[in-house]
Amino acid sequence: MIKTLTIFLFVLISSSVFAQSQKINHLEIGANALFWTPTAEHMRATNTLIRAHSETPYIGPIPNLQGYGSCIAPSFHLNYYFKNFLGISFGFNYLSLVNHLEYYESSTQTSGLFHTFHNEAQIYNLKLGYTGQSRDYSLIHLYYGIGLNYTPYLLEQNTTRNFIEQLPYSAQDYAVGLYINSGMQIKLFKFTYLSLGMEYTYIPETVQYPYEVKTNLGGIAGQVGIAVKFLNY
Amino acid sequence: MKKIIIIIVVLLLSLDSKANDSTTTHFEVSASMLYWHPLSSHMIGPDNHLLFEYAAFYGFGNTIAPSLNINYYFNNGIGLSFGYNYLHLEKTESNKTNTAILHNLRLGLGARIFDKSLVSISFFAGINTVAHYDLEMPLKFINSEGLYLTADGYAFGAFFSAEANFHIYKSFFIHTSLDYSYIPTELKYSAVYTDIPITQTEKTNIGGLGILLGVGYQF
Repeated sequence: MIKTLTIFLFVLISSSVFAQSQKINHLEIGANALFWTPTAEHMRATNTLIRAHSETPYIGPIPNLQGYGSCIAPSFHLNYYFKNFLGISFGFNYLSLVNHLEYYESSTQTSGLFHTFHNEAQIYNLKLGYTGQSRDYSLIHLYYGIGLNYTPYLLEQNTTRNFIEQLPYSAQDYAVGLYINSGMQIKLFKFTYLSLGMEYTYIPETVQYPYEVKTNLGGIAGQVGIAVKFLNY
Repeated sequence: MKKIIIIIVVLLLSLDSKANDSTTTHFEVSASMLYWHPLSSHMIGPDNHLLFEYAAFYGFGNTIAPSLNINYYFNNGIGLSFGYNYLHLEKTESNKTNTAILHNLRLGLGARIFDKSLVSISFFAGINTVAHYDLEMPLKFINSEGLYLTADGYAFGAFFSAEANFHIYKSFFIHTSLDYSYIPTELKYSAVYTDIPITQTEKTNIGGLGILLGVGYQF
């Protein structure tokens, strides 16, 4: 967390110094924390375990591990505004999703079996699109954007049964989708704004494990962060 | 925590004092109906119930619920939002009904623009406290009629809302909003079946997506 914050600050300060030294006055640089949740059944996590604590036989422990879950992720963007309502945006975010379950099964039939289930996803979103903003008070901006997502991903599902690793399922490829976002920016200091927004991404993809799954790698995110704006036109 | 609150209040007041627009309305009070859709599999329910045939099925479904909201705006358009909604979810499968009750309290920071035009737009983000949740899932074992897995407690998360108010008559407006909440938590269910304690844990997100439509008054 501290590392992420340090990187955020470093990127913002260095870009701010660069922008001022170059007298750039159409640029916005931002760093956000995304509160991201997937929308597709295959990506949403379930992590369920039913256990009966007793010396007598267990009541059918039923482990199930599906999906990868939600996460808080870092996000960066660089916007260039030709005019308030006309700009181009380049963005990047990295989603790291983990769904993990450890499960001990005991019964009169078996002396005890230890299972682990570990689903992990790494999703990189590169975004390029249109962005615009409107102003009312000088303190507050409404922003909006729409564009394309280019999304390399790695999905892995690992299982061990009684400490023996099972053949993992994994899928690595890239997908293309759409994003749409909107929010507000509130001026804090000279160039610095507090940014609040929401984003929806739709990234349809047929994931190729040893089996095929049609899913959507996109989701819904709330975002909070800092933007540095050098707008003087 | 106190220091942070004091700093935020001082910052807001100092920003407010810089503004010179005295005609701004400060309060917006609204009552809405909320259509709420959960975003985690555990709260929605599975497509395939086979794995849960002998235990309890999960999922609580969608709901329509009442929601109350008060926003206070400083002269410069920056605002604070306080909201409450009560979610009562029910989902029935094979004559068994899962029930969830959630009390959501929200406190957020945001801003409003275009407040003197026909449509004003606001955006808020902040803390979503589930002051109390109470979830029930009936067991599906043999002779488990009337027995439930239950989980209750509280949780914290974040919320984001984008609001548009359409001014219709004097200070009255139609309130619309898109809400998103992110509330990761670990639910701990428990029950007793034939003197055997049963526990179930579920790491999930009890937040969701909401669409609000209602009326409001500003002054």
